[in-house]
Amino acid sequence: MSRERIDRELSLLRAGSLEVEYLSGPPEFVLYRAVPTSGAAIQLPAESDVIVPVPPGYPASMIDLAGLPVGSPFLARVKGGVNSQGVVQADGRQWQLASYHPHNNGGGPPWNPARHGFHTYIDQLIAWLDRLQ
Amino acid sequence: MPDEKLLHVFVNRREFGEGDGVRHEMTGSQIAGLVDVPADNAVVRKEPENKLVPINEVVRIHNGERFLVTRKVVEGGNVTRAN
Repeated sequence: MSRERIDRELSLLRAGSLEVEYLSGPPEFVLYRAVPTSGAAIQLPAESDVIVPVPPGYPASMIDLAGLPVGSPFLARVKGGVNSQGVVQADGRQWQLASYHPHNNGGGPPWNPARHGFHTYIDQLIAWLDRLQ
Repeated sequence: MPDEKLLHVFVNRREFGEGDGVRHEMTGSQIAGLVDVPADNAVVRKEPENKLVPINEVVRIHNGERFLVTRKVVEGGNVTRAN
C-alpha cells in the first residue's frame, strides 16, 4: 500500500521531468536528483541530489528530514545542516541527514497525509535549498 | 505526457492544469497557491531565466511554462520525539 502510493507520488514528479527513485531498504529512501538550488549566486552548484527517508508507518507518519551527500558544500548553508541526524548509506554514497523538519515548525504546513506526500515534499526541498545561509 | 492543447504549467516540477486553477492570466499569488504556499510567504520565479514574478502582478501564462515557488520562511523545525 505504502509502496504503491510512493510510486504514484514519484510518477507525478517524473511527469515534470524530475528524476526520482525509490530505494528499497531497510531503511527505505526516496532519492531526488538535481533539485534546484540558489547556489549559483554564491559559486555553488545550481542543483543537488537529496535523499529523504521513508518513515515507518508512512503515510500516517509524516515525511521528515533531508540528506545531502557527505561533504556537500550546502550542508553548512541549509537550515539544520550542521545539526546532523546521522550518516546513512544509499545509492552507493554516504549521506548526512540534516535536522530539517518542514512539517514540524520548519515553515511548511502541518502534515496532512491526505494531501501531502513525496510529490509535495519537493516543495519543501526546493525551499530548503533556496534559502541558503 | 500532457495534452499540448490543454493549458498546463509546471510548478516545482509538478504539472498543474486548468482543473487545478491554471488560467491564461495569473498573479504570482495564484501560482504560489497551486503548491499551497500563502502569498505573504511565497517567492515565485519563472524558469529557466529565474525571473521574479511579483505576487500581485498578473502575468500571461504560456502552455508548459515552468515556475519555482519557494518560501521566505524556512526553519529547521523541531525534531519529532517518539513517545
